[in-house]
Amino acid sequence: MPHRPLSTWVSSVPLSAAGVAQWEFADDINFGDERADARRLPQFTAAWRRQAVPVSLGYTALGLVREPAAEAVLELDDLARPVRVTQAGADAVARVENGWPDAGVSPDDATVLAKEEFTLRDLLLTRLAAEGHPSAELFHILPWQLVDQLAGDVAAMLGGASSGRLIELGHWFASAGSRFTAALEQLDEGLRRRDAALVRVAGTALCSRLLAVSVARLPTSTRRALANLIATMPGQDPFLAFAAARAAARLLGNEVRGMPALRLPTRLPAAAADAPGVRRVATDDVREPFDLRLAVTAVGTAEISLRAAIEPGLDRWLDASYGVLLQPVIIRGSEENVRYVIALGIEHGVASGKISVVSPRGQFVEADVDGAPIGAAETRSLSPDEVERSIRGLRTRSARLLWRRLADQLPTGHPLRAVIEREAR
Amino acid sequence: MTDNAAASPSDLSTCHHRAGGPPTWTGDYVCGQRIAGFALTRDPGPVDQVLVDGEEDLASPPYRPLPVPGDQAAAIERTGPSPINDLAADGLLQEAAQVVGEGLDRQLSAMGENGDFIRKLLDEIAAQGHLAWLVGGAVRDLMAAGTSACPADLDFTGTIGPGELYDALRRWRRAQGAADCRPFISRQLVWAVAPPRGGRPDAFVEYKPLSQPGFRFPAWGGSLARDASTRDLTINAIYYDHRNRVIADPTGRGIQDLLATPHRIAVTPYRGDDPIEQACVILRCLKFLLRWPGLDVDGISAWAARLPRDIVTEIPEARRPMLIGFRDRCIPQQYRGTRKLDAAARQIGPVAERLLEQIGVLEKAET
Repeated sequence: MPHRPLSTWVSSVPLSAAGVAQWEFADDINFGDERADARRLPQFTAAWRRQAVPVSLGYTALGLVREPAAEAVLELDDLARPVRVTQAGADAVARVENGWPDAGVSPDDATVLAKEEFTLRDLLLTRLAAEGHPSAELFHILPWQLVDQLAGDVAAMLGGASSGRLIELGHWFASAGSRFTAALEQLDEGLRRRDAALVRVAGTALCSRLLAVSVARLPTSTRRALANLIATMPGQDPFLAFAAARAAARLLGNEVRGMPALRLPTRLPAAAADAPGVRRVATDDVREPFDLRLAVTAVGTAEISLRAAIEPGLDRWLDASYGVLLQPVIIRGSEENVRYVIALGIEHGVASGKISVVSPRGQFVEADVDGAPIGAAETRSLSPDEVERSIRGLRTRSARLLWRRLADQLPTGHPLRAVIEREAR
Repeated sequence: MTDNAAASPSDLSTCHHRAGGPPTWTGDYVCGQRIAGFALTRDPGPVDQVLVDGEEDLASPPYRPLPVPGDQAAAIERTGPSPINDLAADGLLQEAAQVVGEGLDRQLSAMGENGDFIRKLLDEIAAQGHLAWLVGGAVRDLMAAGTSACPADLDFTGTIGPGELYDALRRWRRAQGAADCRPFISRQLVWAVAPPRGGRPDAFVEYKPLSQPGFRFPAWGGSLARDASTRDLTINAIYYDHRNRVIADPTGRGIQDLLATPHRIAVTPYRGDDPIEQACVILRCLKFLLRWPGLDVDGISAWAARLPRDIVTEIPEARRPMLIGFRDRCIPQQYRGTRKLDAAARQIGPVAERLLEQIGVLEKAET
């Protein structure tokens, strides 16, 4: 199988008689098309061979050579510089490429690759994740010690310590998925800037993304460091308690299996003809700090309500950091899952909200919270459809007013503004 | 540089008045030497370097880092002109900008998080004391089609260098929760950002500082008029400042060529003698001729008639393969080898026909 570039950028470089790439005569990026993906260029249908190419800059770089070996292409990083690699590293990459994309990586090759530059590890894993199904353990070659260190620093700052050296994770961990490192860096930045709203948003993102991460891709030390960090999050934001606890349990392999969604039959048992009002049955559970209730009525609706006691003074913090508190919930029937968003109002020391929707088809209806609550800053993650159906599930004017308040907090041109203004009139 | 959103239509140049403060720009003096432009070094990281008069023939940029904002020790006399100073009196327009502004806002909203990123990016560039302009196909399409246009590429230019931009945005991206977005800087000084796990082809915004031709390596620091002289067609050399809602037409005919009836007019503002750039102008013109069959190419034909007939042989051998990539970018596969493409090349002239023929030969040799 011919070897193809791992980077999106390559540069063709003439080789000297001694086989050294003459960087000063390097050709344009991607033969003139820097917006292209080098891996897909027609030039690489022919047989190119992976090699660590000595470069006139004084190091060896990741490259491909085509026989007769008069020219090479060097793989470039995001700043258009050759990607450094050792001969052993290039050989390990070549072995992975020979069985691309699912041949796996031997433990010896993984050890070699883990010592190579971040760029090389990132390029290899990004391509493997995009084109195949790399083993979760292969992601352990990423420089996770940086994440461990940053998670430790952030936990210390949350505990009152001052900020230390800036640790930047950049895109080095993007191939592992879920973007939790961007949330971790945002949290660090929020604490450094003493920006409570930023800390709130970042904490929510971190908990949510750790609920979605493929835990096996993280080495044990990183799982522990992140679990320790998010265990402290509810101290900053009590509304993260449930999401943080679940995410920590996932990271530590203690996922709570005994916390099923609330569940009720969609049809109520027959009742005496003279029973007053609309009959309903209900079930409750705790999703800290919320009491979650699901009720099913005799007229075929499902009602989901949330309620949490608010400590004195917390309402002002909620206003400043969330704008309007929004809790996504999921309602499941036998055939479909539908997500709604409940806006919570605060009155007399209690945050509460409720929606009432047509019960889904099937014999049972289930309801649960869907991740951490969000605020006005995160409304980009909501689709117009789910906002529309959530507002249609409201039964009171005061609940609609909450959505209108949210719309006022959104920037001009925000796609949800028009939806809310139309539905919450 | 300052901006003044309240500028009246009769005095639009005050939008871009230089107030004697940062940033450092071409025409200023550093340690008594006149600044002629800027260049980028990349190792160990991207750093903007100051170029002074007399360095036009250097093979690579010198080491003279651009003083960081607030560096009191740097002896800089900020007496240079604003990049709009050499525009004609009627070179700035406000009325035409309204439709472009509305279209851009609409496009940014449709782009979701990426659009938010671009809005905040423009704010951040202004916060650093710099100017930014939307340029190229996006301005062209928004001016011509109004808010119904959905420009595929949002390309910006301005006064901030790629090194300063890269650095300034590191902390900013962290705060935006976008630390895992990938910034790229190409050899041609194009700074682009791709979403997480995306590569360069996925970039949703590009920025290239105002070109300053005349050096042996890519440099910036030119005026709008100078930057326009490096672009392919006048219709692609219209600049839009979203912050001040102002359009600039440095060639003086970009808007007129774009809105000409019954057909748009293709004229190149390029006056250099670099055969690669000349070949690129021809290929880009072919691209537009395939897209808009009625395009008036008389001006391009007249310009091309003055070029050497065999333009490829004027290009150093090692750099010729880049024409293949550029041809691929301009001319979709379905047109290659077709009568339609042949006819378009014939319309431009023998130089275009010969260019396509020779790129075909180069391609065969490459594969």
